[in-house]
Amino acid sequence: MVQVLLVLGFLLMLYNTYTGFQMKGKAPGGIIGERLSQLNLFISLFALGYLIMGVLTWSRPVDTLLVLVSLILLFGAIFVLLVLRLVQAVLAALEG
Amino acid sequence: MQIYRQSTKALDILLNRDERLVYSLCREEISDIVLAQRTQLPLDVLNKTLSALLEHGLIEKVASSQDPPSRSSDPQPIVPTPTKLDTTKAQLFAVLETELGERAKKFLPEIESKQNLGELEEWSRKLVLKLRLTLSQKAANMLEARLQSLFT
Repeated sequence: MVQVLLVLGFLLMLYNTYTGFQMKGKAPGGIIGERLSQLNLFISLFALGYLIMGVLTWSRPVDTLLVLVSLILLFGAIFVLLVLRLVQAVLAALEG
Repeated sequence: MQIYRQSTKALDILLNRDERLVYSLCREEISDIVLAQRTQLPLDVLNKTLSALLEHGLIEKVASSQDPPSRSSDPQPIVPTPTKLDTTKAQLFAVLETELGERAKKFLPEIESKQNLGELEEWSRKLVLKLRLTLSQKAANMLEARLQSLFT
């Protein structure tokens, strides 16, 4: 259960990293461009953190705290996805 | 009246704002009268700018009113007088090119497609927002400042 949550969170963060860098090409500068650079840096760091967290807790016995942390990490990844979707929508509106 | 155009010499020096504007408008043959109209620079400033560009060898004089009249066997095509819309489009593009360089070219088809001044102004205002958010805040501020004079 915990492993599944961690792997899902990590995969989602990998996808977020990819999406973030892809969007940077559409907004190389300006307010969004500058903020995307910072966001991408943090998304990459968090993705690495998810991986390290998964490796360190892989063989640990499951307890409530670990399940809670895994859930928070997964919802964190979903939050980042939603933020990126919002930026994507703004960029699409500007293009149109 | 004198006609200028860019020379083949590569642009390898730093130009000031007026020089960059005049230099970009000289991409095609253009008279000093049309230049004054498009840049809205005072005549003395325009003449000074043209002299500086000539001195640097970046533009060349193609013809002047002192030149002998055209050969009757090779009549000059009648050049239509640029309308206010054409002038504004050229000025807008020149401003964009000054601020964005090569990236300004991607906006050229959109500028050309505008049918009237109102449409062009509305698009320009949206472009300011787009530049501010996605390309360059500095360019957006400069364009916003120039839009006041372009559309009044």
